[in-house]
Amino acid sequence: MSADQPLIARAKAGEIEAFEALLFRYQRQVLGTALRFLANRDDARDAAQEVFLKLYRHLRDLDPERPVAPWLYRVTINVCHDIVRRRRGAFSGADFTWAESMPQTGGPDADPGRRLILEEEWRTLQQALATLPEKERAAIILRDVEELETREVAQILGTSEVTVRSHISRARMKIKRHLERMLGRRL
Amino acid sequence: MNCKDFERLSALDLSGELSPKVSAQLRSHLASCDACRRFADGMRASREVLESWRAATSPEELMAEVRRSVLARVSEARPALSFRERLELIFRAPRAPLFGSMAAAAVIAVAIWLTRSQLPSSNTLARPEPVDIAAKPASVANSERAEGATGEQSEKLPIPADASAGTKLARPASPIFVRPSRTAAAKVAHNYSQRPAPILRRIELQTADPNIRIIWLIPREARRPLPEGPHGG
Repeated sequence: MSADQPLIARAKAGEIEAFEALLFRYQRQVLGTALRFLANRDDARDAAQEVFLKLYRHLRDLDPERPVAPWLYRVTINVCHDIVRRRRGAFSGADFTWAESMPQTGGPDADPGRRLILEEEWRTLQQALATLPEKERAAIILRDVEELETREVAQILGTSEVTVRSHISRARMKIKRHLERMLGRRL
Repeated sequence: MNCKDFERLSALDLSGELSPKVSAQLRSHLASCDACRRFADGMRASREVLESWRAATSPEELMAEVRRSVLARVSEARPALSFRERLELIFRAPRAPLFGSMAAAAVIAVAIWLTRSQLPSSNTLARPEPVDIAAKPASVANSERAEGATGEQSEKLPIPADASAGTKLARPASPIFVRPSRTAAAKVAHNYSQRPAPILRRIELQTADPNIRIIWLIPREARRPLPEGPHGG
């Protein structure tokens, strides 16, 4: 039985507080993945809302023996794909920067010089991701940022581990080249 | 394999995706190829940037906005579960401790009910059986007779005058436990639910029947001390 099962059982029984606890537990993963995939604040917010509404509608279909996180990642990636397809006609554009989520005080990033470098690197990284094909983008976000295993990424994306390794390899090389080009230094 | 292949392998080696054999081949090539070694170093630096990105969390106000919106829509579209569905969900959930407690309570309740059903009916418990002092050991009976010689004490314990001849008096076969009614118990529980657990005073009265002892458990209260009886203290 997964650790989410008690909350899911209570949420299935109509307990809103239990569903809210699930929402709290997974909001960072869902919204973070959507923001990195879409790089647009409004699109990411819409995607996260849609993901959690789907979770609520499909509570009864979830397998109690399995954790919810892979299901949420899969739905998040699918919803992001849909949003990208929908907005091709009217591209809303990347408007989100991660500078605002940087810790303001304390920690190794408190040094102003280091903060500026990080801001620039993260902005460039977000641009690099935007240039990747969607499958490579999804694979690199799940593997390198969300730190999932290759096997888990393959299950979430509905593909083989070999294909995921291929996506990751290509994505890492493209990101390296983009960072070197945009940051003006050889990494 | 050529250098292009080793570049691709360098990208995978960062996260331990390679088998030990292929990883050893890559190490061997990097030891002899400057260009591939520089590429591998660049890959490592690039991955460090990616890893630092993990520290960037979604803005709190955006997460709050998502929560508010989702919860508002969920509250509106709450599915109406049938009674049967709710029962199914409740009994499917892991509630072994609850069921264990309920089963234990049911067994205790049945045991109490069976015990109660074996007691004599109330009218046979209404009056104590007269005790014949003459039946006591001689030493005790003699001393009590001596007291009775004062003319104040009869040989048998007093029985109310209205003890009709038709009423059967019986000695209970087992101890009789007297407990307050449910209402009284609830009232006591309510009175003390907001206070510390009271210290109980235990008072025992031995009736003429050696098998019947009356026990009071009275909470001691500082503001309302119990009146001192002739043998109190």
